[in-house]
Amino acid sequence: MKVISIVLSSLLFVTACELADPGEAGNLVPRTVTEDSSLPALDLAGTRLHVETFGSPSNPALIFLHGGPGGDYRSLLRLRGQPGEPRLEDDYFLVFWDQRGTGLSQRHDAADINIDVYLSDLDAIIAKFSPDRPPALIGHSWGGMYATAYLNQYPERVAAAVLLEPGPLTGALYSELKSEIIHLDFWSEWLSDLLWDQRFLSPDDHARMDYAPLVARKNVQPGYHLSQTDPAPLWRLGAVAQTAILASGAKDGVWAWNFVTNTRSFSRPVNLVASSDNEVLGLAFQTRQAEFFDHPTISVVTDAGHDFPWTAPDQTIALIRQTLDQAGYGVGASR
Amino acid sequence: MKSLVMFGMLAFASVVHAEPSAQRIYGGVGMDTTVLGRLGYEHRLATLSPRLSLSIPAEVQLPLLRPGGGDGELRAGLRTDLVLGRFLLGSTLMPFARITSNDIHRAVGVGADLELDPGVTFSRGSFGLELGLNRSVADHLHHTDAYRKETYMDVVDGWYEGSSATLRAGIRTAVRLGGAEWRLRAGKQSGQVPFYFELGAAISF
Repeated sequence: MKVISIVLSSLLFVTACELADPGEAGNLVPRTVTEDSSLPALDLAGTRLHVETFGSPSNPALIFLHGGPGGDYRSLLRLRGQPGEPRLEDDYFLVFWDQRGTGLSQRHDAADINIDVYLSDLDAIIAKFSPDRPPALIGHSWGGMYATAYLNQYPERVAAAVLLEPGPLTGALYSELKSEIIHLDFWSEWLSDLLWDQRFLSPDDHARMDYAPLVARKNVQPGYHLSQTDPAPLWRLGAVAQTAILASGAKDGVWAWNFVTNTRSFSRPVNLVASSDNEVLGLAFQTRQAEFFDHPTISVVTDAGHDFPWTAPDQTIALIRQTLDQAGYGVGASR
Repeated sequence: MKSLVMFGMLAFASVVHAEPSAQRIYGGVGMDTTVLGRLGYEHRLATLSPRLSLSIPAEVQLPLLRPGGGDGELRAGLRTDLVLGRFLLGSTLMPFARITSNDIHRAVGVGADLELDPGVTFSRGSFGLELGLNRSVADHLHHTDAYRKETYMDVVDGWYEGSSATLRAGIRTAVRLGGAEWRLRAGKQSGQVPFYFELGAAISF
């Protein structure tokens, strides 16, 4: 009876309290650009994107494409370089943006998000920030896949591409690696936590859908060797966008995307950068993916896992500069 | 609310008509949101009439994939069993308190589980349906430093509106073998894991 009394007392107590709304942005997850007008934003192509630029718009543009799908650009910001040292933005016009439906960008229904829409968004970003010359694309993980999809479709619109450990560029490669990309260890604590947490939060709106999967974020990909001591940050997951992009690459339940049907038409420099520690998307895998390009460079960032743009920014910046140098792109080469 | 009033009246009646109690321990393992273990104790307070009895069940539920991780649920409440010949109608209201601890928060949730179990008895067991509603009333969330540092510095700790509600419908069967009653229950439910099942046993004494 004592236990029942305690539980009933708790029920009475909480019903008397003013309860916060878990679906209200700002409580569990930050507000997006449609909910917070103080955030840097750009209305483009029927959406409002979270966008920040650094450096002079007169310099050659570097367009950054974050990972995920469903991630955001916060984990790429160290690629600006260290304060007090020569920075990329001294020589280039850096464009960071959260892709449609993710990070702090506007949320959309799944029906409004697919690969074609994403390609149109990138086209609009390029037209806005680099209207007079093709930019260089710097894409990490999913962002590397996204960059490849774009240059595959519009090879003449890209000056150079630095693909920072891109995920599988074809659905067939994804199918091959799927169990290693998302490693479902039945006895793992993260899986238990993720499932049990569903008893607390049901994914009824964007805020809760973006919040709930974060329970497992750091542990779901052990083969990637993400840093546990200096974990890459994230503003806000885009759960609907993540699902929608993956679904748009599937046909009849089979992963069917192919971002490399025309990559050999791309004659500008491409650098596929691998991390030394990633057991899934590392050097061996990127060497396979390099075969999709005519004259690729393959580089390795040492002592780092898949989050190397965050944990090893200096090495990454040096490789970006090297590729831009090779492309003869901009004034910042050969530092 | 009507259910609460009904159970209150039955509890009052039990004080008036208390009889020698029957006790039962029960347990099971299965899948319900996650791989789950359940251990419970039920004490029959009274037989209100030849057809109606009132019991107090209490149980603990633990996720079994990784036990000891600060996750679990405690339930305690009231149960009535109405017997009309071979037909049974059980109804249970169990307020619960559940906890979890993970990379982004420590949480305490409170709510209630309401279940109706119509069924029929056989010589060595029973068969029936179960219809249930599990509703979280409120959750207290306390976020980890890691979540604040790596994701959202201004996240709000405190009590939140209950965000979880699960409807379930299934079947249950029980067979008496030896000194125990062996039970199987399974069904569909709303939520991300849209089914549940449990294999268990109960011993009365």
